[in-house]
Amino acid sequence: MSVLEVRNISHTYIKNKQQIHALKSVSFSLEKGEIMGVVGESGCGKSTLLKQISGIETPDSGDILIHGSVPEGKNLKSRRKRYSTMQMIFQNPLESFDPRRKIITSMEENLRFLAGIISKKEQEKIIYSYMEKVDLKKDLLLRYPRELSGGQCQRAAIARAIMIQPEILLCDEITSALDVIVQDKIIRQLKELVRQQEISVIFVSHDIALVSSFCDRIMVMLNGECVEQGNTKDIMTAPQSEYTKVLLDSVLEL
Amino acid sequence: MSEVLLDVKNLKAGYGKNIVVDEVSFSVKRNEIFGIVGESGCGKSTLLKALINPKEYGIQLYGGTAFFHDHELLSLSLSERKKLYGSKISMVFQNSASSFHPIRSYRKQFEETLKSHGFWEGDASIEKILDIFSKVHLPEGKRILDSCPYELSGGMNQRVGIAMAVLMNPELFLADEPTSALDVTVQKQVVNELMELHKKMKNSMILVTHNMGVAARMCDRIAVMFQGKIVECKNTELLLSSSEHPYTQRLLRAVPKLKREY
Ligand SMILES: Nc1ncnc2c1ncn2[C@@H]1O[C@H](COP(=O)(O)OP(=O)(O)OP(=O)(O)O)[C@@H](O)[C@H]1O
Ligand SMILES: Nc1ncnc2c1ncn2[C@@H]1O[C@H](COP(=O)(O)OP(=O)(O)OP(=O)(O)O)[C@@H](O)[C@H]1O
Ligand SMILES: [Mg+2]
Ligand SMILES: [Mg+2]
Repeated sequence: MSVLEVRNISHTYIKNKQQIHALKSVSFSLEKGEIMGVVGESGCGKSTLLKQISGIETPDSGDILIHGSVPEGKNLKSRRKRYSTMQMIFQNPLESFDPRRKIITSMEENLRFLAGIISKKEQEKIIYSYMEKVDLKKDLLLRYPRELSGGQCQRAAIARAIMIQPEILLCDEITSALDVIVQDKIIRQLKELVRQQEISVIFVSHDIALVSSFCDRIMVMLNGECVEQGNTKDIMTAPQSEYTKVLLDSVLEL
Repeated sequence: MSEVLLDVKNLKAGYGKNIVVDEVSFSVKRNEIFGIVGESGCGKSTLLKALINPKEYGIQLYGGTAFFHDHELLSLSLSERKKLYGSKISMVFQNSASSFHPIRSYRKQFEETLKSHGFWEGDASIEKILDIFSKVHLPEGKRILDSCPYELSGGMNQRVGIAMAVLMNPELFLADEPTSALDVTVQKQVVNELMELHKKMKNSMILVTHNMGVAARMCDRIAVMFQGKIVECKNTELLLSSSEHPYTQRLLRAVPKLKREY
């Protein structure tokens, strides 16, 4: 059974009586230990897709199944259960944190409520070890999110999400503010995590070179639709849709 | 020799006792695109913010000067600052959406900004904004203007930020990661548009980016920053072909390559 199954989800936003079809009948499934990349035009619905899967928003139609069943309930307890299985790292790293709380407080709360780790000492040990994994110094923990650089905040958000050891990790442009050296370190850590704990990852990114080296499978989106999905090798060597071809040809290389 | 538009000397800045920009010197010529690349957290955004408005971002200055024409930017009075920024110097911030008011429509925010600089011309201004929107691949301009940041995607907000910053044809345009949220096709269009605009207006630009491909395509010169210092600064071609500093070399080696053959 797939860890995650998305069946024909559609979502329309309404703005000034105008309909914005952000998702049009998107379907795919994600297996244990699999990394799926999602690429596509800015504004094509990638963040919307992740928000629906994580449960922050509800699709107008279609089903999202986790281990074969629809997650039930909207109350705090069921939401916490959903978030402990599935963590989302937001495109805007500031959104992963409460602006009025220090980084460490947000991390401690995640550990307490989502991973059931209550001992302060143990929390501290975990937090320190994950800060090291994302190449951040401990003293940044006592700052507020706005007091970090763009890339530091992004890494803190990654650490916060992976330290509770979710089964599914939803990554929305999580390396857009990182230099390529740090990016490489983070990607190695994620690979290690996938290998050791067999977590499943959806990796939304505009960096096609990165996606092509990190992901097992790729889904290409355009205007709310999935125009193509397949093995990374097939998409990269023999793209079927015109859009994918244009996308691959537009990469600015050194 | 072409005229120097911005001349930064020994700029030292930080937060509290932490020095994060350490004795940085560089100059930007008229009509030049100057790139800054480097480690996450090395002080790039702080450097740009110090030039714009150190106080507002809680930045402490410990020394140095930054001349733009005969204005010394680090010691400007509030009224001088207001006159320069927006029209002569503008900036697009790394986290574009967060630099706007979160729940006010872009239409109102554009109007307010233009009015505060005496540039507001009613419908003519709206037309001009829509024109820039279409150039950065935002065809649904009316919808964008009626939206608040949370109603648009990451890359859409980023392009609105660019539109706002170039609207008043600044002489100096500071761009902090202006294309980090764009897919490669839109990125290409925005990069081309900025180059086009740059050619037409003969303005200067400081481009901070982690995307080495974008830096290589756009910049005349590139400075590499590491732990608060500029460790190497060269013409783009020279930097790419014969970098000297070990950090630059590591950086260039780490750029992921597109694998289209297996
Ligand atoms: N809360 C909202 N209200 C109205 N429209 C919205 C809302 N959220 C998203 N949209 C619209 O839905 C569409 C898809 O947005 P989404 O954020 O999913 O794009 P994306 O693929 O993540 O783009 P990017 O790569 O730029 O981040 C866009 O047209 C956007 O304006
Ligand atoms: N408001 C602040 N208060 C205290 N320290 C800060 C603040 N803003 C930034 N810093 C620190 O200053 C250093 C430089 O930050 P800056 O944002 O300039 O980096 P950057 O080069 O832009 O990094 P990135 O590429 O990740 O955006 C970092 O170590 C950061 O933690
Ligand atoms: Mg998005
Ligand atoms: Mg920055």
